[in-house]
Amino acid sequence: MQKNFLYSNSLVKAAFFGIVIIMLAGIISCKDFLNVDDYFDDEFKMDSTFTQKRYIEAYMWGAATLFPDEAYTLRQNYTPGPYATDEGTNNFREGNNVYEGTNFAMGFTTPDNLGKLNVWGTYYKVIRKCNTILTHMDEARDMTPSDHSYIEGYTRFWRAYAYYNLLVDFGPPILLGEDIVENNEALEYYDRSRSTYDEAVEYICKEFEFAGLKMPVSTAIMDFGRPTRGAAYALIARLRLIHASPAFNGGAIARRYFSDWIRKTDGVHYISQTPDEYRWALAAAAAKQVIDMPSDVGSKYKLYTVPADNKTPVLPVTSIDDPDYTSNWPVGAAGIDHYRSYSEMFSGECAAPTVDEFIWARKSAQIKYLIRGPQPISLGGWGRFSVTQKMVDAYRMNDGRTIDEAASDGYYSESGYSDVVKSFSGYRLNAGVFNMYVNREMRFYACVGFNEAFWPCLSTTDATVREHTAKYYAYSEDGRGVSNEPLNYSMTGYVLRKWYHPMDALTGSSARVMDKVYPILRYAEVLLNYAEALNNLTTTHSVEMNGQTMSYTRDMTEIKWAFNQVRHRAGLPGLTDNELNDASLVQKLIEQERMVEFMHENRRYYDVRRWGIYEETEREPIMGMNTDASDKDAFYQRTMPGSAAIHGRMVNRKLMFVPIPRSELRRLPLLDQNPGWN
Amino acid sequence: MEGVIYDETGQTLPGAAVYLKNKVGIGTTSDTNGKFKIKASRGDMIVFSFIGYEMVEYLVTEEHKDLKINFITTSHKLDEVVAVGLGSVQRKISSVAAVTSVDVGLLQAPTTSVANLLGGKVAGVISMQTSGEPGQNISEFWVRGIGTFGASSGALILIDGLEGNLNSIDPADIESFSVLKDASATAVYGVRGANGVVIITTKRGQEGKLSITGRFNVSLSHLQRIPKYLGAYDYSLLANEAMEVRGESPLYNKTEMAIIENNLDPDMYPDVSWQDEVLRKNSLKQSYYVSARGGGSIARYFLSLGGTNESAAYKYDKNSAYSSNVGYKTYSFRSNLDINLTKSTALYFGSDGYLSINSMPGMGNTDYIWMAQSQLNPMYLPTIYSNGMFPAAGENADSSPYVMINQTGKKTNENFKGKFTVALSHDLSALLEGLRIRAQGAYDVQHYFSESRYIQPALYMALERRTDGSLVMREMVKATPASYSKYMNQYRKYHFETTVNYNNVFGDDHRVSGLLYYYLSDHKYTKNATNNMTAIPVRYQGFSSRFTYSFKDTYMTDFNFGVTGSENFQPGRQYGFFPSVAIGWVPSSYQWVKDNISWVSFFKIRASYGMVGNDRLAGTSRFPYMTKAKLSNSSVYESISKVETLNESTVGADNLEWEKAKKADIGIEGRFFKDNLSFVIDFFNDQRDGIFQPRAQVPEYVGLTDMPYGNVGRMKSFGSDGNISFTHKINKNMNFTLRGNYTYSDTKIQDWEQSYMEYPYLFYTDFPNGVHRGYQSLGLFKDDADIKQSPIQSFGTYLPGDIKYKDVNGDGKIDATDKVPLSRSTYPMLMYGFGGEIQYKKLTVGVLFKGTGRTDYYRVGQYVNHNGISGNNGMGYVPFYGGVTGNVLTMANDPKNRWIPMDYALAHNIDPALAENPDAILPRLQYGKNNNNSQKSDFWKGDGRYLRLQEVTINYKLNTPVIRKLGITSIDFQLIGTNLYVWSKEDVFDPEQARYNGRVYPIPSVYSMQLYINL
Repeated sequence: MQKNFLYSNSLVKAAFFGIVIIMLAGIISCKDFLNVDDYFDDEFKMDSTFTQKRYIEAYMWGAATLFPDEAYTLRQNYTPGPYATDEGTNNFREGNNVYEGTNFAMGFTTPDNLGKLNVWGTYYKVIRKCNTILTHMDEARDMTPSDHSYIEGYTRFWRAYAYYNLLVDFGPPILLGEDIVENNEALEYYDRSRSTYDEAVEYICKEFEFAGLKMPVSTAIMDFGRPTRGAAYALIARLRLIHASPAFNGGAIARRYFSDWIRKTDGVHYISQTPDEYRWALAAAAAKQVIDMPSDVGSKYKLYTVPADNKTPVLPVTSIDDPDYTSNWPVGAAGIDHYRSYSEMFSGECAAPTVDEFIWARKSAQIKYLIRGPQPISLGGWGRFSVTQKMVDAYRMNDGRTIDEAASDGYYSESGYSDVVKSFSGYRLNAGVFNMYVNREMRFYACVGFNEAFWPCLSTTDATVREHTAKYYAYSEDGRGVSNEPLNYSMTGYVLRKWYHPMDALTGSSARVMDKVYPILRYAEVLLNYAEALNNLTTTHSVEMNGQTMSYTRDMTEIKWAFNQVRHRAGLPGLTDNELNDASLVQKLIEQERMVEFMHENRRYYDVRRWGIYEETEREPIMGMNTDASDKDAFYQRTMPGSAAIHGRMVNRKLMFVPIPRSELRRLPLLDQNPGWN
Repeated sequence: MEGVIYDETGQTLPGAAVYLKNKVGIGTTSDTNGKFKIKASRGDMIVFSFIGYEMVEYLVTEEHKDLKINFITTSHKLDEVVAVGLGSVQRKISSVAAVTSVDVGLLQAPTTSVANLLGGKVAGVISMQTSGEPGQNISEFWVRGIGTFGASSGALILIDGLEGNLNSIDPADIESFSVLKDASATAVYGVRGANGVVIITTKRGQEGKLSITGRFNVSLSHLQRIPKYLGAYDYSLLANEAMEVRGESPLYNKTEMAIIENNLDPDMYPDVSWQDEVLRKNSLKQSYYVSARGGGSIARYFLSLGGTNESAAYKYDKNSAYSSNVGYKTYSFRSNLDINLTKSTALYFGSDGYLSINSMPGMGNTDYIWMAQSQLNPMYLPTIYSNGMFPAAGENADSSPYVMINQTGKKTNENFKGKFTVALSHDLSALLEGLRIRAQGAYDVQHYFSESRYIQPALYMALERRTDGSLVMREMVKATPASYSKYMNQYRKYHFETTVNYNNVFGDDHRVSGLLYYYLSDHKYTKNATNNMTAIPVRYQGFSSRFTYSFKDTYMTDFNFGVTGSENFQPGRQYGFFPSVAIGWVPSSYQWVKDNISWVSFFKIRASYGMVGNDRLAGTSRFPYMTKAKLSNSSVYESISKVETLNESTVGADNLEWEKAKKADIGIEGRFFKDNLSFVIDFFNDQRDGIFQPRAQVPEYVGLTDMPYGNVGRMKSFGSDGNISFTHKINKNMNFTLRGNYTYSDTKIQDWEQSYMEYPYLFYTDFPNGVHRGYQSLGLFKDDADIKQSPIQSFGTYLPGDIKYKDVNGDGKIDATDKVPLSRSTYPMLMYGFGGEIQYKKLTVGVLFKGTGRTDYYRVGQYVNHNGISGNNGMGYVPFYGGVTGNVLTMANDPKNRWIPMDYALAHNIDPALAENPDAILPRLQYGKNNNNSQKSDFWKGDGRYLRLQEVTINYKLNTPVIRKLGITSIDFQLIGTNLYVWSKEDVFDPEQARYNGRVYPIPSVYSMQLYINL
């Protein structure tokens, strides 16, 4: 054998060494053989995102697109919204027409079935992306300091806004800080507990503050819809006010709702059980920070007004003692058209990017689409987005008195019908409408569609649709029993008109609907926040903000200044001195003013909760006109509508918060559910 | 030197190779009388060899003129070997792995694919066939059942060491066929071995005279178990019943019934049996095969060439230019060349090619032909309208199958597979006794080409007859002019491997072998590749080793490991380590046993444990570690202009690793009574950990936009397989062999990450894999009172005679939360086969039965997926399933088979004793789908067990001196019948395809005549 090898010819050797070489080549080449990275050049790997500022910015805007459209508060809504309050109601709750507010108020929402309210995870998707950006943004070499500041500002804003949404709807969230949690671990790894309410508020406010500093003060018209520094500051003001409010600030109400709600990991109350008046001062300071934001000419933000013209009605004579009332705007109520000043912000008539009242507003396809919800059935609408009688009653008379005050002299009446057509500010009040709807303040006409109200629908040339008078009597053209869909009717005899524009038409040739914006933050809210915060102070508090120390006290001039602007813009007289002297009365008036001013803007759901009056307001039965009646006199009777969507509503303290999805609780033993939910 | 060579029976043996071992190029063969003559000198070693006989060596010491060389048939006993993977063989006695070696002689029945021959023959294999149509009549099979609910449960198939396909190899080319089942055998395959490995080696050239084998076959396929549908009159009677028992007016009035009964209007009320129109029931297949094998001491060759031509049982109209039957033609060749470059260096060159051409009607999907038969009732459409128009009720399966076959043009799918291999091996005994090194490279290319010449004539339906007798026609399918289209995809692979083998015996008692193996492969399949990701090559690289040791053939052990990597994981985590160990003990080797228990000729106990891997994900997903992102333009907060946004499209996880199979196996093997009785029994437990599945329980607060894959699934499969055979020689002329085998595999899912569900029985975890889930039926509602007292069923309206379900969770209503696991999977858990041969002189008769156990299917509501069908079944079984569509099986005509309301029975002369039959197999009829009754429930459960008379072979061997004089060694005449009879509870359809409700081509019986000629 040895011999064979020795005598073998050169071919053998060649073959043998060939094999050895091939083997070696194979083994050496093996190191990178399995790396197919070359092929990924055409793919966008996540790792590539942080190589360039361009991609980081795109990723940041990608995070922003995850937020639900804020206008989804009524239908297919991500937050319980107006239908979970006493502002409005709607017969539907299921199917394609998901009305989560109705579901929530009726107790159909459960931790197992949150429906569209299950956005707990959505906000955390935003948070993860933001944390990813903040961790990796320094890796991009082409990032300039100003790019860095801009992207970081927005990133922190989106993260804080996600936490803000979690806090107000679901209660204290799990605060992740800068963590990017591993994405593929065993369940035990993930177990975490929630923060307390106070921890969350402080974290979110701090983040908004930090974000605000780096965010632009204003956006280009092209970028309308993007939040600015004002939005960050106004959200702080809103959150500080919530935090100072009775339900979350110790005291009797906080104890009533939350005394048993204790974090299982350390026994701490989720909601502080000791009151702290200083929070009101912080809220006032936060509102003041927005109010004081400067622009080239005066303040950055002001209420939207349209100058009076020949269609503007003259200011009514009033018995209310407001010396400024007849002065010209902005001191008083004169010189502006009150109907249009309020209505045009919603109807789409205003040039939204230029409206100084919008601290943050967005164009919204949803709010445009929902025009069909309240529109009369005979005009192609669903005719069922109802407004409650309580809401109708909350609107004052045009002279500033409440309906009770005006009933005494017959200025307000619940009998008889008007005899003439009244036209003002482009609005037509038909002859023959119920006297209840006559002489009311402008916001009433802008927001509520009542029986025999006039719907112009001017964009269509179809005469059968144009200039329609809605009739909600049973079996009349827009009433109950007419639509193929038996639930399509207004249960109360009132519908939402707030976002309606006179040109809007759904059917008929050339029918069109105006583009509309949905206000996320209006300056009017900041003013009322400021007034409310000051009004709740009993002593003087110093607040340090941006290096300046300011002291806040119950300054009646300031309260009046802030509050009266909202009243005057609506054409109503402001607070009297008597009223101002009574802090609890002012609180009541603020509460009533907010209900009216922000009707269906999704403030009241949160307001009644923070004020601790949710149970009281919810216990009052929802009333309306008798829509089962087919004749006029029988129709105009205050009636509790016979609908399951109203009779089935429940009053339960657990409805302070949306429950956390059961699936999440099962994964995380340390995670506590919201009180009352199991 | 001169002499004569004899075989065992004393006959002279022509054609045997005679050569000198140490002198290359000197050699001869024996002549027709077995005589040989060779020049040799003292000290030369003369080698005599002939296929099938032991090689004989003769040392020349002196001159001989009448040397008698007696050949004995190759013994398959002591030195029988088994293929254990990586191109190496092990002596069977010392193999401790669970390997089934299949007697290749059993795989010779004519069939479309070798895969069809495995079920019932190979212990450890479970197979299933779902269609009988030429080109689709190929079984699926699994080694020891389906072991994972993750991706790819199919076995790795290696032909001559390279990944291949059982469909493209002619059984006559196979030299050996082994199934590697346990970790000891498969660990060296690392990531690819988890689902078992099938090792096939093909025939190689042998020194000696050229030997030629020819095979000629002609087969007749006869369609079995074709569903029988009602004729027009019976159909219309039942249609009226279906309407009336649901409170609707009858579909056909008295006048119409008279027309139907007497077949007076063949346009509006035809009576068509589409089976008669489009099926012939019989079809032919021919196959030819020839191989040549031979060579000398320097080069040896094996060459083969084969072809088949199979047609389907469709009737087609030869006069139509656009008609096409279904045909399946295959052509294959193989060439294996072995060349000794020197004494110690050998070169192997192998190439093989396979081309299949599947032709079919232009509409392309032949399932439609069967679906149409199950959908079109006899009165719906005539074969052709009297005005010459072709009928249809709609597109695809709603149009006339006659038109599909005869008027839609032609389509062909061509599939070519070719492989080229070069290997060099070198004997390094000079360095170390028993050391060999081998390197092999291969290129594999597959090409799929499909072209279609499609035409669609306009199809019409008659709506009514005008008073003048003409028909009002509506166009149901628009005409499409003839058009040409094609589709192709390509596969290519290169593969390189080297092996170092070491084998030696020390002191007669210590046998040692070692093996080192390195390979890399790269393949790319561009099927449906629409993006870069699917076209990235799949790459493997691995290094494996095996070490075996045995002492006195009594104690033996194997250590194996594989370090294998795949491109599917991120750098740094690409490689997995897969070790295994096996031990064996052969008590029969003790002298004491040999002396005292002499009836035990061989007995072995062995056990193995080890780990194997699986790296693939479900579907086309790849690179699960990678998070991919997508850049797009969106309007942020509905701003007027759009800006660039970037979001993750898939989320990857960076801690992924292999799916791991921990396989344990215990086996016993024995041969008793002079080897007449032999058996192998194995018990196995296959624990799969880290099965890939998309995570479902990562908390939402983590904020993932998409769930990544994780190694979270766990499942085990366990069972047993084995075979037994008994041979008995009755006398010199007669002997028989009986054999049987079984494979049983059960599974249990231990962890399947799912999102939370309300009731424990809704989870997959803790149940066997693939269990059927549905509602428990409580029979049929007896009466209205029964309905009132029962929970509400939330699927649709229901009446007495409709299916009543059990309220499992007791919440007062029947809904999806009442679905429970009902029965085991559609895939059989048990497969067995038994049979044998009896040989009388030159006549051999073989019989094989194959059967399955523990398998269920559902006639209605089960999700099925075949070419054209994808959805829940029911159509074809439930009468009037789609209203006017939904043909009615004759079975429904028997009043006792359906629930008939008493008043209806009384009013229509139906025996009242049969009315309201609580055991009816069909609920109250309904014209159209009944949502309550078409839920998947155990009411519709069918027992899928069967016993098949799978093969009967009659072989007559002719090797008389007369034909030898003609130069023919032997001729085998064979008559083979396959799938001759089925015993099953299911009697309408073939049990293997019953879930398709007759909507696929049935599995035919095949009768073949086969001729083997050996030259």
